Amino acid sequence: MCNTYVPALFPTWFRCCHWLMAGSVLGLIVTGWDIYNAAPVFGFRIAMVLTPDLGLSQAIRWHLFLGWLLAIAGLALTLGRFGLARRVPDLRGVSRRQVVCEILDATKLRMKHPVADYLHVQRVLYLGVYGALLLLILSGLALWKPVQFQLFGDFVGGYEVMRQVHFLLMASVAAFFVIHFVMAILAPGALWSMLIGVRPSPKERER
Amino acid sequence: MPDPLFLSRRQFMTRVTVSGALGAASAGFASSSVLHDPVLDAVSAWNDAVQASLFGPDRRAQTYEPDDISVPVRYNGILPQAYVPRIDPVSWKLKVSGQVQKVTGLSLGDLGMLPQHTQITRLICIEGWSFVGQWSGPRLSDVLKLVGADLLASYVVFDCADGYHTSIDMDSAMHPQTILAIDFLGAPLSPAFGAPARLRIPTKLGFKNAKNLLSLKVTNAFPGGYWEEKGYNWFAGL
Repeated sequence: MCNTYVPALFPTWFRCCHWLMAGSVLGLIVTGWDIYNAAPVFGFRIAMVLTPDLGLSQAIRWHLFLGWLLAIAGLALTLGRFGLARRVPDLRGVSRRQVVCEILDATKLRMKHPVADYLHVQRVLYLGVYGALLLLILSGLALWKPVQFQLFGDFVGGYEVMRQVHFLLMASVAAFFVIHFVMAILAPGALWSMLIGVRPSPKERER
Repeated sequence: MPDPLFLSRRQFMTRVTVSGALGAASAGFASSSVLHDPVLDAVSAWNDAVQASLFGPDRRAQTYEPDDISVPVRYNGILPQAYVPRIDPVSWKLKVSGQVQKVTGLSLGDLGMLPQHTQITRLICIEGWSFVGQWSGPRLSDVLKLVGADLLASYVVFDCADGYHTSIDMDSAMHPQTILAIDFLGAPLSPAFGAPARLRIPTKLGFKNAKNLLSLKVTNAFPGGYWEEKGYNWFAGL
C-alpha cells in the first residue's frame, strides 16, 4: 500500500454544491416544461405525466426559486473549484488524443481510470454542462427581463428566438443528465463517493 | 488506529444518516405546500425588490417598424371575447381618486387633449407568447400630473369593467412608454382590446396592461391585483 497522499474524492462542500445543483437543475427542467406547455414555442407539448403539472403561476414561482438556488450553488462551486479549495479532480488539461482513445475504449466497455482523476471525456462533458448552465442562466435572465437585459436578446435575434435558445440549452442539459445518471449507476462506487465522500480503496488507487 | 484514508464505521453510518435525512427533508419540502409556500412567497417578494432595482426609469422597451406588427393579434382576457363589457365611449369617464389634488372623472375628450404618443412595441404574456402592436394615447405621467397626483406615493391601481384589477409601482407609472392607450392599430380600441381606454406598459408583462378601465387610484397601501392574488409575481417587470 503506497503512502502518497490521495485526496479525498469529494470534499463536503463539493458534494453539497453538487446535490444542490442536481436538485435545482432537475426541478428547473420539469417546472420549465410546465411553463413551456402554457404556450409551446415549438410545435409540441411535453407529456403531462412527465411534468409536475403545478399550473403556470406555481411553476414560475418554483422555477425562479430554483433559479436562484442554482445560481448560488453554481457560484459556490465555481469559487471552490477555481479559487478557494481546489481539492477536487481536475477539469483542465483535456487532450484530444486521450478523448478519442477513451471513446474507443468505451465502445469496448473499458472505462477504468484512477479514482482521484477524471477521464478526459468526463472533463469535456463537465466543462460542457458547466457552459450550458451558464448560458441557461443568462438566457433565463434575458427571458425574465427582456427590456432591462435587451442586449442579450439582441445578441440572438430577439425575444422569441431567446425562448428557443433557452429550450435547446435545456435539452442539452437534460441529455447530459441522462448520461451522467447512467454512468453514475454503472460505475462501481461512484454514487457512494458523491453521496458520502468515501475514499478510494487501496486497490482502486493502484488502478 | 483507524486508517485516515477510509471512513470509520461510525463516520460511514453518520454520513449515510445525514444524506438520507437531507434527501427526505428535500422531498418533504417539495411535496408540502405548508412548508414551501412561505419560501416561494419570500422569493417572490425578493424578486419584486430585485426588479425594482433593475428597473431603469429611462431604459426603453424595444420599438418596432409598422411592418413588424403581428397579424392577427391574439385576444386575451379573463372573460371569453363575447362577454367583454361594452362601454358607451360618450358617457364614459375614468374615475381618478386617492392621493390626488383633483378627485375627478376624465372623459375620452380630456385624454385626447393631452399630448398623444404612439408606440409599436411587443406585448409579452406571462405564458410566453408575444405580439407586436401599435398603441396611441397620452402618457400616464401626463395624466397623473394633470390631476395633481402625489408622485411620491407608491402605487397606481387600475379597476376594469370586467372586475379585473391590477396595480403598478410609481416609477413604472412615470416611465415615458407607459400610456393610457385609446387607439390600437390606428383606430379607437375595440372592446376586446380594451375600449374605451387601457393601460399600455411595455416594461411589464401583459397582465399588467389593464383593459376597459373604469378607475385609477393613487395610493400607498399595497393593492395587489387579480392574478397577483393567484400567485403571479407582483412587480412583473420586463
